[in-house]
Amino acid sequence: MKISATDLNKIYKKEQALNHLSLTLEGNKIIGLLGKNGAGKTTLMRLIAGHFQPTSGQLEINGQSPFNHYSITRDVCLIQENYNFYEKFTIDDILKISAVFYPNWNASEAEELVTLFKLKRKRKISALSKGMLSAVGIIVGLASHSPITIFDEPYIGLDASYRSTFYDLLLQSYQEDPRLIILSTHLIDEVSKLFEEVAILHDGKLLLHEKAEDLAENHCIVSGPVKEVDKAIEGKQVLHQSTLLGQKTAILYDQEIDGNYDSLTFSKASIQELFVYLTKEEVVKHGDRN
Amino acid sequence: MVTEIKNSLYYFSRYTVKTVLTFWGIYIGFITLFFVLSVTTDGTIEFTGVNTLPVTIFMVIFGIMFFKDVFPYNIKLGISRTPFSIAVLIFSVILTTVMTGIAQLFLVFVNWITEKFNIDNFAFVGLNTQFANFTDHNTLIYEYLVNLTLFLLALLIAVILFRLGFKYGMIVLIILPLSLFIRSVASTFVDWLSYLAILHNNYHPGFFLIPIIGTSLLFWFVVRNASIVDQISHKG
Repeated sequence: MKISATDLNKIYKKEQALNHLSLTLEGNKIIGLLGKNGAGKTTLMRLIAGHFQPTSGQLEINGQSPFNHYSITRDVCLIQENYNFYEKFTIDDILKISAVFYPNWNASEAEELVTLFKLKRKRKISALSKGMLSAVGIIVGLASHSPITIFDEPYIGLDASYRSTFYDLLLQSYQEDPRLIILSTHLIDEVSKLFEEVAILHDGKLLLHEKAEDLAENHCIVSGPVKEVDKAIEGKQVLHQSTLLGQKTAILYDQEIDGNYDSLTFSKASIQELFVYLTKEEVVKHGDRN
Repeated sequence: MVTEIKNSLYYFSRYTVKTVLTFWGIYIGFITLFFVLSVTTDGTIEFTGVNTLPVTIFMVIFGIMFFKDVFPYNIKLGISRTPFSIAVLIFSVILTTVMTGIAQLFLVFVNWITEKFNIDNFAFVGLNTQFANFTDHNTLIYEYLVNLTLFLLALLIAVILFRLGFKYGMIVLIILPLSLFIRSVASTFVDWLSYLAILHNNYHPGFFLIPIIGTSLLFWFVVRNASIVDQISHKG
């Protein structure tokens, strides 16, 4: 499956959710779609699922717009943070409906997951706790085996143990049936090991789209005395810099430090730390990744 | 498209069955209660029930609720908007058939009981017994067409409010009632209505096709590019 966004814009009344976004997501892989609140992640995912039309620009899945194209949307399963299911339905209703609508639905897997998450099939959606509701979403997302499976913050209310179970299940499901899985989350540290690619949105634009491996390797944290650090990073692409008690820390991306700097320390950051550095307002406004 | 329509109809059936059963459960229970009261009080209570009106009210209220409860979820499950609209039209015909059919069966059953046991103080009437003496037209078809038309009109009102929000939706919807204050418009409207009134000389059941087709086309026109975000509740 290939998702291709070209110069994509989405404007809600006066608010621009996506701003000339161009992005390509391709192949069977788990992709982390990251961004601060209001970055445009949910809008992009909902456009992929055909919930509404873009204001302008193009969004295509395998060369066709998902909006009003069943041949595309039947292969997309988007599990959102909320409003996934009609609240007067029971879990049983949801599973039966999902079995009809998703062509690759795995009923036995769904059954096992219902047992695993200790859900009662006769309970109404409106009577479920947030955690249970998330579990139903996770069950539908995984058992759908949709060629494009999207999870948008799917585990609100789930405790750390069940979240860990979800990550294991996701990986297992992916290994058994490789497909394009897009996972949007704020708990980046917990899931970063699952990501093969990371796309970061900021203010409706694509800030970065890299393989997770490259992202981890191609950055460098430099720390040491202010003057030394300034000298080392001069003319480089600096993601973030901060100074405390005469010591300066700077993060470089895709840059090498030339020369010998004995007084400097070089280290690596996690994807979550990089995400924070990349999306901090002052970096984007003033640094614009220099 | 056939798969989409079939899937949508399956979703609609799961959504509808409990509501319809609840309605008939309450309604039959209510009538049974009055029936038992009439019999046990031996003539001191006289009860006259009208069978048609509750079904018609149900069709209008259900039509208003139906759209917002099914449209977003059907689209989330991958259905396109045109097959959804066709499925809604087919569902409207099926629902009207079921509701009008049950209403008639219930009417026949209650009247059979009252005749069988010679119960004089319990009368239960439908459109057929009310109008049958005044017209040659089939009152059952009339009841069916009224229910179907009102259900489709309620759906159209619901989709306009869903798409445009309360403020703009009401502005659009109020155009017709406000225009009736213009004498010529009101006169034309009443003339048109006469073609749908069973006791009027102009009446013919075929004229119901005009509002049925009209509301169906307008429904499709509003839905065909609609976002699934409800502009009233902003849920979706």
